Amino acid sequence: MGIRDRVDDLIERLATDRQFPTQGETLFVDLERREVRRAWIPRRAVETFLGGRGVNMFLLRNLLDSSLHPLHPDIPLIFGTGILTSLVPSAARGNVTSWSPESRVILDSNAGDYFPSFMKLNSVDHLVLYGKAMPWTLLHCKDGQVNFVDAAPWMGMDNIDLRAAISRDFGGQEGRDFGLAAITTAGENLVLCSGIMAGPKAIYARGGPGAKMGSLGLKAVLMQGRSADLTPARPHKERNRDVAQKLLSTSVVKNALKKRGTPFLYKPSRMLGAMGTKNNQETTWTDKLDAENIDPFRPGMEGCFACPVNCRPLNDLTGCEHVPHDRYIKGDGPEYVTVGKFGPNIGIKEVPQVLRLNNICNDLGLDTASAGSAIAWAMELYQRGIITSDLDLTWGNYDVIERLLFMTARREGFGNVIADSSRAVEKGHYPAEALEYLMAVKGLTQSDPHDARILKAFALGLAVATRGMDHLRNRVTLEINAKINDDPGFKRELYGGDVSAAPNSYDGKEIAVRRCENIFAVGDAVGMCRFTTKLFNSPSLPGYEEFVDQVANVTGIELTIEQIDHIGLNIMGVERMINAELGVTRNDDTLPKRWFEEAVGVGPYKGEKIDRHEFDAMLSRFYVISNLTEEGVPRPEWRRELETVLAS
Amino acid sequence: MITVRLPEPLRNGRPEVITMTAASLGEVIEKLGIDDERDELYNFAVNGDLILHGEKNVHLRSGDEIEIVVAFSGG
Repeated sequence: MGIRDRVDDLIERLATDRQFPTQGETLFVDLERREVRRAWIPRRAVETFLGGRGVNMFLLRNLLDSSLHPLHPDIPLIFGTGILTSLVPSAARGNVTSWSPESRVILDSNAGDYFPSFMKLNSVDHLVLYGKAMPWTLLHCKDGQVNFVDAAPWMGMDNIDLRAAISRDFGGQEGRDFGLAAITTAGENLVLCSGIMAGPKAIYARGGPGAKMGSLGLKAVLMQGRSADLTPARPHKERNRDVAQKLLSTSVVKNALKKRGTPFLYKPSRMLGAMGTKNNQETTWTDKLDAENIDPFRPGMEGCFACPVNCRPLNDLTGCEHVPHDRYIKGDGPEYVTVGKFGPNIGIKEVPQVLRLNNICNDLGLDTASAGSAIAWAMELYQRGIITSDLDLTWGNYDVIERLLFMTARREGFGNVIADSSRAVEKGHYPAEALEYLMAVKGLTQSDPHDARILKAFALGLAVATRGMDHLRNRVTLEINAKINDDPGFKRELYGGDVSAAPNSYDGKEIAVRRCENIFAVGDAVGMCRFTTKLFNSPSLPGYEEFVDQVANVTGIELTIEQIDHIGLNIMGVERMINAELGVTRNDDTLPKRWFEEAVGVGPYKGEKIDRHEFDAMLSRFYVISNLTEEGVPRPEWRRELETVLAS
Repeated sequence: MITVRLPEPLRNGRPEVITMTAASLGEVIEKLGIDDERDELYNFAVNGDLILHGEKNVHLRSGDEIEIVVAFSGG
């Protein structure tokens, strides 16, 4: 059955009118035939998966043909906006979902800035894209109309030029008048570590979304105007004030995120001896990259749509010696991920160099987690003599690294190898031996720089995350906090069970990961930023209580705390069903070999590594409390329930 | 003497670096009067080693250097 038959079949089962106040349409866009069809997600599916990432999975499960290749134009690319996106403070997020050409499991990526909010403001909750556009196309959505625009004028442009050109050619200012999701030349060239840029820095990253969008011949999606009727079911602004107050009074927001953004996270990982360094061969690095050393280069902070936090640091290298004063002299960021991946992970020690690489990646549309990891992997292979290269891939060789980023975006020379990211062995660039040193799970390299050999809850989270080795799906960040660890009663209340106080213990960690995975999935479904969701960085941030209240106020859909928690589980369940169809088994819920075999060499937890037996037992316990079989898929009764909703 | 380095939000008019005598980290916390103020954001590091649990029972010796640092791992 081809994609058009699948879409026909699905639309027949979808609703023909709005199911609740503020609901937007789901648009099915055939890029090859330039046809648009419209439907509404049925109430039952909303009550099972809510919106955003959850409903994206409902759509992918119905439309996926796993006999094809991820870059086949019959494999859809699905944008989704959270059910509360643009309507609640700090809910500015949305997901893009597909089958990943990089990892070969689900592709699911979350981004903020303005695009997801402008989807909602245009009454588009989900955008299902398929077929190959000929010629390259820009999709222009305005006042409910969808126009297919020949993208020739913008082809070959990277992020800086493209955003300026769109603003000039269509009028208006990004963030105020429109939201834009677009690929750069890296996406046009199907670079697997490229993303879809949702703003100057915001990127739908992880798994190669840029390559997937490029495979459809789609340069950009422009959401312009604010024509949607977003009148809520009942007044919600008073509760919004509570949410904003809660956000702004939380210590992590007040004292860290608003002041420095996420780079403050570098220091504790470094001090703990858990900073992934040189492809995780080492675990600590220089204090020169601590956040306070970035302060002199930070002229201010920016934020996403209507978010009171403003956690995105800007940077300005003007006046800095030995730094070219070109278009990369200023920029957005960096986030902690980029500091780690383009600092210790590749042997860079200087703040200006990290900032410049950050600015280049933002322009080239490269996912700093995947690109940084691919470069670190190449450097270790070069160090070990497993590969040779015309380039000197010595750790910390800044000039080569900068050059390599541009070569990657163009797939030139060794850049073509980096462009194939974790698939470099399969593509014949490296010998099979290279896989021994690939720091990846389910084909996806690690998202964040934190080496998880010490904190076993972090390790389990990275192993079971449905999109691959990524901390944003379930990271129990509070495991690093002594005050919480030393308060067993509070910890039990947070996670709903006994979780050992010792961060390097395996006892009860599955309970904490389960709780985080549920609430983070719900956060993605409502559109809330991870940084401001309860349990991620703080126990005091908005969580289920606020989500159920605002879902009820905005949509009229009444949910209990238990029901919304179960929605989080449902989302994980359907993701595991899709992954199983793509060949994922229990053996894929694991960690890089290095973490089982090589111990941490420094710090208070020197000698720590992952014990295979203990890990396997923890994984089994995780499956039991997650209602999964021993193979890691939903148990039969729950699976039947999910299948019923998916097929209804 | 123990040296304690305070982050800006916890100084309350005190200098960045202060000294005191204390036999345990629990005693340092008590003397600083920050047990209530210190919410979920801060951890202690003793001589560069981050303490992740059992912090109040950590024994100290003269010459130890304590730093209070943000300690999360999200990002």
